[in-house]
Amino acid sequence: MRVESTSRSKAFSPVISVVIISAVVLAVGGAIWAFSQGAMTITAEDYAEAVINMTDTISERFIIEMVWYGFDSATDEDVGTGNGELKTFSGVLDHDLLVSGTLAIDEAVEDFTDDGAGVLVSSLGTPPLGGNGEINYITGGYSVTFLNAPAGGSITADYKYITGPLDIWIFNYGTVDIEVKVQVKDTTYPAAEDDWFEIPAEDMKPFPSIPLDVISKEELNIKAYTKRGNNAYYKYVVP
Amino acid sequence: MHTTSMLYRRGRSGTSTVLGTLIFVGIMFTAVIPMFLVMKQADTLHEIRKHGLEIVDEEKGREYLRVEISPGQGSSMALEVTNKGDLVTKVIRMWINEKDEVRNYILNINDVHEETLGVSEEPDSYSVIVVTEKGNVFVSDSALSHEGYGVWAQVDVYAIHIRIAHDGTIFHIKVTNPDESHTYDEAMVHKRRGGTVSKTFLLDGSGTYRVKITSGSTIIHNSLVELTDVHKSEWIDT
Repeated sequence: MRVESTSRSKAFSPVISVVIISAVVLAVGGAIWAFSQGAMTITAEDYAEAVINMTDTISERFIIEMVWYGFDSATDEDVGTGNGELKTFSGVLDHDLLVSGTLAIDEAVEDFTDDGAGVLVSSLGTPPLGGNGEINYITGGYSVTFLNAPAGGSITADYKYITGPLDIWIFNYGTVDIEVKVQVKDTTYPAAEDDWFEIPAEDMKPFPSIPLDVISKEELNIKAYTKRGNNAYYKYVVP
Repeated sequence: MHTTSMLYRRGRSGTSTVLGTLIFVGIMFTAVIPMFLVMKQADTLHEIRKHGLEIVDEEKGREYLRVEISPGQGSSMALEVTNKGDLVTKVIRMWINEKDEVRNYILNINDVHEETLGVSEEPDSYSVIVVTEKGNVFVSDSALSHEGYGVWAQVDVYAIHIRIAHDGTIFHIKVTNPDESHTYDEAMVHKRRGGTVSKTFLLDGSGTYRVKITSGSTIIHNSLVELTDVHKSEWIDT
């Protein structure tokens, strides 16, 4: 009697209840299963991608292989003509930004060379044995006083002067492609945030020329850095 | 009667538990375990790659070429590259000033590679840089000045070459005068564990220089180096 009474008090028969509960368990379980599979797949893919990115980051190998700031030469530039009376000649050379230590002023008897510090040294010796002079490497302004006034003929100057631009070659000797920017004198190249210079794996590329204002013997600290955050450095002294 | 009622309840809960367990086990085997396997495999590949890179870096540190140039016949200069390291080295490129040229030769240990390089008839000064496949750059010990049409003048280049094989990874190298009141040049160099690292300091002239190498607060090398017009370069191994 108690069984019948219990059966009567239920909405479904025990078999239907089992079927319904099983169906609910299967439906919910299946949904969780499907969700878990999707979530785990995404998690695994994200993890693998993060590891691959990390591996690429530590795999980057690159150097600044060469740095070059262009310069040119001036030869036999006329800086005056001796008349037997004038001992001092001054003026401004045709080109500014001279390479220090490269200026030579030639005359028939007495020649001058610069000592790299802006002083012109006579071939006859220091005063009073010879004349003296000075050169401003930045402007090209010069003044030279001969021991004896040049008798005649032209006085000429040979020198080198820097012209730029700054050229940088980067060697990617690693096995992954890299994207780089270069920093010189607190300026980044390329300037646009999303603009990077690409260098394929195991390749060397010239970085786009950088029009940079420098003076002779200026020390440039050059930094190349990749999108993944690796750096290479180079210290360059302008000619 | 009580027994019958309990049997019904057991039958119902048993089915859902079994199904739940099967689903749990299914999730474990089809989602969680594969995920861990993929993660583990990624980690393994990462470690393999890391290990490979350590070997490459160590080998890079062991490369050491000596590059010398001297006046040649007429408007040419003679290049001599000697493998002074302890590893077979492949040269892939050479620079004559700012012009690069492709090269492709292998130097066994102590092998010497010789070649003649043509230069312009116009006056110019030259230095040569040799680049290896592993990313090392070796600069010629001296520079040459070509006064034009085959007339050469040697440009004096004074240099101290340093090679560090000492334990440690970061070193501070300082080149000063003997009493350390003036610093000519200094650099921080990084070395991979177990490898070596080389650094060359170019100096203005002959004289006595103090070379001090520190790793952290520890001095690992401190010596005086004499450069003369005869011996313009010196090597320090530590």
